[in-house]
Amino acid sequence: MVTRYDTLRSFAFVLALLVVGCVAATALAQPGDTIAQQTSPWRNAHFVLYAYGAVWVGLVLYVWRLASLARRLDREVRKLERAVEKPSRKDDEP
Amino acid sequence: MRERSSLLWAFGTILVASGFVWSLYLVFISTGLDRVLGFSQKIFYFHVPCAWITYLAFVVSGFGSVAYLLRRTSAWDHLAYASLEVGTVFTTLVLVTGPLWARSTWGAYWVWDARLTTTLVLWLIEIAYLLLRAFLEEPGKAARYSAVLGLLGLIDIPIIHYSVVLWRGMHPDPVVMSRKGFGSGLPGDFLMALIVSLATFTVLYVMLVAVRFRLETVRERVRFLRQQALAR
Amino acid sequence: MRVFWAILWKDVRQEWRRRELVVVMAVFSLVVLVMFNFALGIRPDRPAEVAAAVLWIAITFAGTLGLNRSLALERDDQCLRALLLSPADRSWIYLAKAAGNLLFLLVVELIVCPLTLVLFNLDVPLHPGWLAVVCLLGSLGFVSVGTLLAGMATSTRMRDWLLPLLLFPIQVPVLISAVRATALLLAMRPADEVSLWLELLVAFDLVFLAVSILSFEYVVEE
Repeated sequence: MVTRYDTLRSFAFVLALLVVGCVAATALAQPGDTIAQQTSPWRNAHFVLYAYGAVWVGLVLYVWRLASLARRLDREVRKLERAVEKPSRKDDEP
Repeated sequence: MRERSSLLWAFGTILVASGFVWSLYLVFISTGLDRVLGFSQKIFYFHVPCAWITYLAFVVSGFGSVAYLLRRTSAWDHLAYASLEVGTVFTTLVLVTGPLWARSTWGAYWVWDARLTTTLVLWLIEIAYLLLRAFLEEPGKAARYSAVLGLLGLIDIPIIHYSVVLWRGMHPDPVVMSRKGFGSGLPGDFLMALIVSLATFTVLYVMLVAVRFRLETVRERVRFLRQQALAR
Repeated sequence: MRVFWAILWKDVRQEWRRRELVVVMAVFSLVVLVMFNFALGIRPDRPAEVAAAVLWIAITFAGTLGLNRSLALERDDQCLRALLLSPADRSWIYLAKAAGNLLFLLVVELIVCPLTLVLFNLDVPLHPGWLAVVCLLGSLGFVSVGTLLAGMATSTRMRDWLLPLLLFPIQVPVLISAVRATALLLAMRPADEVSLWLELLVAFDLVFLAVSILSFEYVVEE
């Protein structure tokens, strides 16, 4: 049975894979001269990395938070469903 | 029913994943460098979509709030809450990527730019909404009060933006939505990368809201079961 | 309509006897003014702008105190419950509470504005009537949303603490407009420069008074 948080976990895993892909892609972009010539087009490359990294970290953290909330709620539902069923079984006894 | 929703989730995940891969390619490899700003201009491709999703999320939440006040179906309240919480995540991302963009473009992290300032106030309203919900125990009251706050916020945002723009005494030149029409300020390949990025973020937003919506429904069930358990 | 005058008169009479709200609000505003003067130094640059900013911060903080207290009193006395059981239209109850809060805040401003001029060594503005209008419009905007949000905040776990968090972001247009208009007036600028900010204040007041009247019912229903 595919539970809700299994789906979320695989979602988070796919996102994590893409983080790796993103880092690789940024590495390909060859950040070059950021110190000497102020006119180099690569001069502020590190900001792009931070920004992109922040977006990924933010999204992954939120998905993680949703996954743990889902887990907690599933546990509560199961616990409460058991608690609600038990007394009715007692009523059936003679 | 279960199979269909699993299929939808799988489809959505693949869509988002492929969208991100494609936009990564477009942003970092395919498009050239901006003449003036160089590589740091690339922040634009995920800062702008985050900003648009922020406003989309807030508007959806606002409409959900109004619908809840009129119809009183809990589904509208769940939508309002879900959209606002996801929207807060995106607003936070805008406020993080924005100053990084500002630093690389203008040399300062925060310049009280009209749009970012409005986004900051919007973020404060969203935080207030989340705190209000966190500190109200009764679910009916929580839904009603936060719906009123959502409505207030929705009406206020245009007024806030207008007052901030007046306060700064300047009109930031729109690049994407200028008077000449959508995207006329951008070269073709930049626009393409932006649109793909925007589409990906939108699908991501929809999926996150759907997940959060379901969690709220489950939470409602938990409350109902708890009442039943106490009644025994 | 009778309900409106009844509630307003009750609040005013209560305040006249106890003198809690206005005194505390006025003293608190004065304390804020003095604190800012210590923080800013004796002769700040551009005293008109600084004075306007400090004045409205003081009014905002004092106003928040007043809003919290006024609704807390209502809850303590169970008056609100009794009022809501009556067949009176909810809107009039809201308007009466808001009018009471506005009245008290205006009395405080009557005391605090001259003190601000004195502490910042400013001359009486060319158009004191316009300054009064700005104070009235700004306070109205503050009190209209504030009464509604105070009603919400007092029934949460956090009570008083939550009101500023809810109110201040929503109030940003009022704060910006009121401070800019006051600064222009205190700097002896001509009245037509102020008109833009006044228009914004009027727009905010109309919109949010209307929305608050409509929404109050949802806040107090049990």
